[in-house]
Amino acid sequence: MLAKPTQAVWSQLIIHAVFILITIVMLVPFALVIIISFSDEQSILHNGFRLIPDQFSAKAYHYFLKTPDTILRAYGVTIIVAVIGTCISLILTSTMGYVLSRKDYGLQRATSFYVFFTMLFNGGLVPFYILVTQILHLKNSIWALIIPGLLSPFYVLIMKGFMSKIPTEIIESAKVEGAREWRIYMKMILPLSKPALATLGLFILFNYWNEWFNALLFINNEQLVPLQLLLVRTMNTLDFITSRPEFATAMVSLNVDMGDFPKTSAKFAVAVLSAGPMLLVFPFFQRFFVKGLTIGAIKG
Amino acid sequence: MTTNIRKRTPLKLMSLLAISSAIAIAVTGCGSNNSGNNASSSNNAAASNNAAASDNAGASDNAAASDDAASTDKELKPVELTWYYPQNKANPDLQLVNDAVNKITEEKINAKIKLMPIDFGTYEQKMNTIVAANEETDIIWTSNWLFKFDQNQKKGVFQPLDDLLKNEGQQLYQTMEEKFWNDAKMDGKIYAVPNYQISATRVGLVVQKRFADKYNLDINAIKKMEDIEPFLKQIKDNEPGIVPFGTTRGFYTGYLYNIDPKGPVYKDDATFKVLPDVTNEMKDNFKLVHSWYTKGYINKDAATLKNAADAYNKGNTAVWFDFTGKPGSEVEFKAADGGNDVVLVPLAKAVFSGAASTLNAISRTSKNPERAMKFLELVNTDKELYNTLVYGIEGKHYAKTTGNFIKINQDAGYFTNTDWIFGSIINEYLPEGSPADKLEQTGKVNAEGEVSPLTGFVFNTDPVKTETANVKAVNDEYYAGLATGTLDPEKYLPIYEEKLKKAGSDVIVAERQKQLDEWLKANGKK
Repeated sequence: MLAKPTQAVWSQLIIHAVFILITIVMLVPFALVIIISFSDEQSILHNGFRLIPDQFSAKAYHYFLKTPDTILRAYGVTIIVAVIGTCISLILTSTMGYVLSRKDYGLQRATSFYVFFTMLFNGGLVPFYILVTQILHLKNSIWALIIPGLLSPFYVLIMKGFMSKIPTEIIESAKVEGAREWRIYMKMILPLSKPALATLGLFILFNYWNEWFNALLFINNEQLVPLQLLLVRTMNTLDFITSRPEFATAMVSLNVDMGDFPKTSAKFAVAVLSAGPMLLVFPFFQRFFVKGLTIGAIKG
Repeated sequence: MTTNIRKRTPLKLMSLLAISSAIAIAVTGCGSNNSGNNASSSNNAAASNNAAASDNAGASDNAAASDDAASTDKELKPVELTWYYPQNKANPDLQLVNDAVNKITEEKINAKIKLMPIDFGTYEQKMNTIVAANEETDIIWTSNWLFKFDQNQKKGVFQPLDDLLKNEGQQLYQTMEEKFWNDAKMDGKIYAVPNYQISATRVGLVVQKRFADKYNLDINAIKKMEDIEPFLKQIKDNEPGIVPFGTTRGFYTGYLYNIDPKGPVYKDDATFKVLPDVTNEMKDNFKLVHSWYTKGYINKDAATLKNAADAYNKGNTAVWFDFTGKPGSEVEFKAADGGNDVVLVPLAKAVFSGAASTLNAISRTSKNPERAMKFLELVNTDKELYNTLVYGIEGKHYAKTTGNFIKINQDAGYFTNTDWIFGSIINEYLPEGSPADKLEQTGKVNAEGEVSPLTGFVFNTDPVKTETANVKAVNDEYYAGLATGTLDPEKYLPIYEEKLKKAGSDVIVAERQKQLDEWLKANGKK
């Protein structure tokens, strides 16, 4: 009788140890990113990356945050684009996926192929640019950041795959009960597809959050520059200037001492600044999946 | 209902599978998707560039026709011109400055200018897209190092300016010597307006003034590198903690030894014989540096420093070598070496280094090329307009002090620090601290600058790609060590030469000679 509890304690200890180790392995790189972003550039140069640097410094953040209204506006633009974009995109993806998943839709195969085709072939950068600027006239508009990412054929196909697993009988029985298509879609299909909506919603949100290339192409108005473009631009220009002797003297008269500039820690600060908010969002979504999954399981 | 619930169980299980597989697919799918997209988009960009080029060629006829129609119309209609150029960062007050610029231009040429600054880091990418999409633009900044002039001219991005210069831009044409315009020529036609700035290099030494004064250094007596050695000895003996001579890549350059590096050939050699990688002058140079290094005149980390400024930016270096010799660089060096005054000691004649490093061209897609030319003329001749572009609005972004000097307020919302982007620096106000004769000096050095007879010769490395890469690898290994004196040339120079030979340096020299001969023949110089 005595042996058993100790055995249980031991096995529990081992299990705990294993999980603690796994957690540490996952957390350390993450902590390292944050710590490096707060390290002094010189101590990085001399000692490499360390969990406890010789000297802490918030210079990198100071560089990015010295004009707070710029970066706050950029956050604002990104959040607006991400939220609006994700909502509209989910509506479009789910409606399209649903239509494609209905076996009684006559052109199902043809439409699926049409969607699939765009995954393999696209017009390329320049026609895309011409379409947005010269036909849709979206240059310098916030819609240039939203519209191009609204519908991803890949997500439509995932959605279709998920929805075609919903038994047709549900739809039929709802029809028998007198529900019209809209009601079926809103009251039956969408709630049943919550897990897929949450997953794809998260991906779409990430895509919008990380998008900067469209902004680079279409946005000249400083008021509409999203966060990622602001950071990419800052880093690019810094790399560009520091790597070119033509600018060595220019930087001198700018009173920026390049030897002292937190180049490495700035990169990590960028990572923290851009990824931070997403880390807060993720657990929210995660709870969503788990909930969607477990309710069904318990009831069964 | 019960059937429903029962049916939902497998559904939920399936959904778990679906999600996990969806995540897996999406994650991998995203990755490959992106790379695929990037690759295809760059291909597309290249392809469509060509397409756009041919389109442009076709369209230019039409444009030319409509130009004629416009020029018969004497009355100047109000137009808006767009101007793309790179900048260090976005300026919050750009619109204010743009308005001030418009006020000047509307009055003088009845045109509004839309300033379109783009960050240096993204300029090339963004301009390539704009150009490939045939977007209507008027003036595009270009150069031989960013958004390259020659490549884009070949794509047909710019339009020839000869007629425009003759009709609208005579005054502009006269502001610069012919050697400047020659650098903006392709196939015998002018395609861009050079921004007049320092376009000559004059190699020399930079000496901290406090030491030069203390040891009564006679600057005029220094004619070659060896002449500075006694001074270095004085520093070494009497100034502990001071590095007598700071360097990163040594100071071997053909300009010191009467060699034209464009070949490289001896300047007085009428046969234009291409010199080998290791010349006798280089051997002597390496020996001299090594003797300095062993005597302790040179910083110990010379061979491993990356940036030229690392040699002097701590303020404890007495003398260093400067490859550019730009007038006004005293101020810049002072700011860079910890606030110590310096004197420049030129060691060779100024050499014209070309004006293609900053140009403004008129786009093929411009609907108003005459007005764009008028604007370029105005930028390069109108003091008020030019300084508004460079420094912003007087009283807000800068304040006039005495004479031509101004005090810049860097945090006022408009600070470019790129006078060379906009136009001729001859019209600029001088920031406080610049030497009063900066502009005269610039003019003088530019005028004095010798034009190499080989200007225009560009060595095409394609036939010797492998050899070039191999030679580069050898240079990466040995050059810095030898040129800074860290390695003993007695021992390592033969090894270096041997390795260069193995890497194929002779093949490169032969190829260079072949191309140079062809070029000389084609240009009637031989």
